[in-house]
This record gives sequence, structure tokens and C-alpha cells, in this order.
Amino acid sequence: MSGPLSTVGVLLVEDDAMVRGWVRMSLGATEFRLVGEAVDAAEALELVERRVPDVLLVDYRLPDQVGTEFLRQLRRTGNAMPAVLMTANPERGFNELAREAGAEGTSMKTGHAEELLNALRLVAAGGTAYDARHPRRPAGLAALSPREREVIKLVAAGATNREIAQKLSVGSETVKTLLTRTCTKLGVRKRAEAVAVAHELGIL
Amino acid sequence: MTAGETAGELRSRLGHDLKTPLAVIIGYGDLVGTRDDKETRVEASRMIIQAAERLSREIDAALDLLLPSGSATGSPGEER
Repeated sequence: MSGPLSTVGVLLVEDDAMVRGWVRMSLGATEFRLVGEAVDAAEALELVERRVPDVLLVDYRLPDQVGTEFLRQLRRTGNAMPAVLMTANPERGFNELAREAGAEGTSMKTGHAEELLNALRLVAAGGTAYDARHPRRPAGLAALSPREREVIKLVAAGATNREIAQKLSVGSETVKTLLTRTCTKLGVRKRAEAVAVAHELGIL
Repeated sequence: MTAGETAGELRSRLGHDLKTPLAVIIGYGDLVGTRDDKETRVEASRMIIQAAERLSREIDAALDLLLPSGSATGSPGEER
């Protein structure tokens, strides 16, 4: 929450204690103030309500959920708090994935404090800041729908079409249609290739 | 573990378990070089050492996945 000295409240969602320490130290002696630290999405959802931060800084790989799903969940509740997603690696299509999930920025943990601070400043001011080190998603790859994402996650987990149908409570023909559409959007023909591309895009 | 599972596990370790402590080392190293206050520099230096030790352990674990009988970090015949 913004205080009398125009501080910007940041809620950090990160399971790794060393990374949390780095962020804490990086924000020291700046206009940013950590109003809370959560180690997973469940704790973050609680703290968002209680601490009312100005900006969210969220790790992509959380123990209980990926950061994009956490943000989607938050946005569905009507929460429009600016958010920056962090990853350790450059990942193809990550900026697009983050934008589709409702994040206003991305930042690499392999970065320097000033890069993180710049991203937070831009996003806190109402702008966007997507880290250019993430290669762009190949042209023509449309975003997967939530249902298509569910299907590709189940395929990656080794589920058969019948198991996917049972899990999603749909018919096997619907599963085939969803898989065909997913493959088309990912620009591949086989389910194994779809899983590989989905991995590369950070969907899984 | 099948070859596919090993590859997946290795990918996960290389992509996340190794990169995270490496990122931490770079991040704290940046703070040592850019911050003036002694307390921050001392604490950042301490964290660099901790992260390097963690990285060493993660590399051993990744090597164990590649080598048979988990012999990556022990001498031949050594019980682990």
C-alpha cells in the first residue's frame, strides 16, 4: 500500500528463500517496500487480501501452481493489481503467455537489481515491462484456450484420450477435437510434439 | 527410470534447479558490486557462498542421473 512517503508496496510470491533474500535486498533503499512474502499461490491469495500491495512480483514456478494460473485466478476475481512474473530462464513465448494471463511485466531472476527495479517502476506506474530476453512466440501460434491447456497438461501427464474424456467429463470425440485444435495452434501434428512445444512455450 | 523420464528429470534439473542458484549468485554478485553499504555487501557475499555450495550439490545430483549406479560423486567402489 502506498504510504506517506510515496512508497510502493510489493507482495513477493517466491518459494526459494535465497531468491526472496535477493529481492528483499534489491528493494532496500528504494521507493519499494515489501509488504509481504508468500511461498506459494495459496498463501499469496490470502496476503493479497490482507496486505493490499501496489504491485505483485510472482515467480512462475510455484510449488502449488504456475504463476500464470495464479494470476488468471486472481484476475477472475476482478483483481487488477499490476503484476510482474519472474523466471530463471529465457523461455520462448513467455512474454505472450504472461500477457495473456494478465501480467503487465516479466523479469529474469538472472538479472541485476536495477533491471528488476526498472520493471517494477514501469508496471507500478501503469505501464508494461516485458523482458526482451524471452524469445518471441513463433508467428501464427494462437493462444490456447483454458480447455485446450487442460488437455495438453493431461497429455503431458501420460493420460489416454479415454482418461482425458473421463477427467474432463466430455466425450472422446470432443477430446479428439480439442487435441486437433491444440496441435493446429501449436503448429504440430503429433501429440508428443505438442507436449514438447507446450513445454518450450512455458504452457506446462 | 526410463530414458524418457531421465531426460525429463535432467531437463527439469538443468532448467530450474541449477539455474536458480546460478541466478542467485549473479544477483547477489551484482549487489556486491553496486551497493555501498557494508552490511549489504557482507550479507550478499555470504549468500553467494551458500548459493555456490547449493549449486555444487545440484550438479552432483544431475550427474548422478547421467552416470550408472549413482557413481558421480564418489570414487569407484566407494559406498555412498
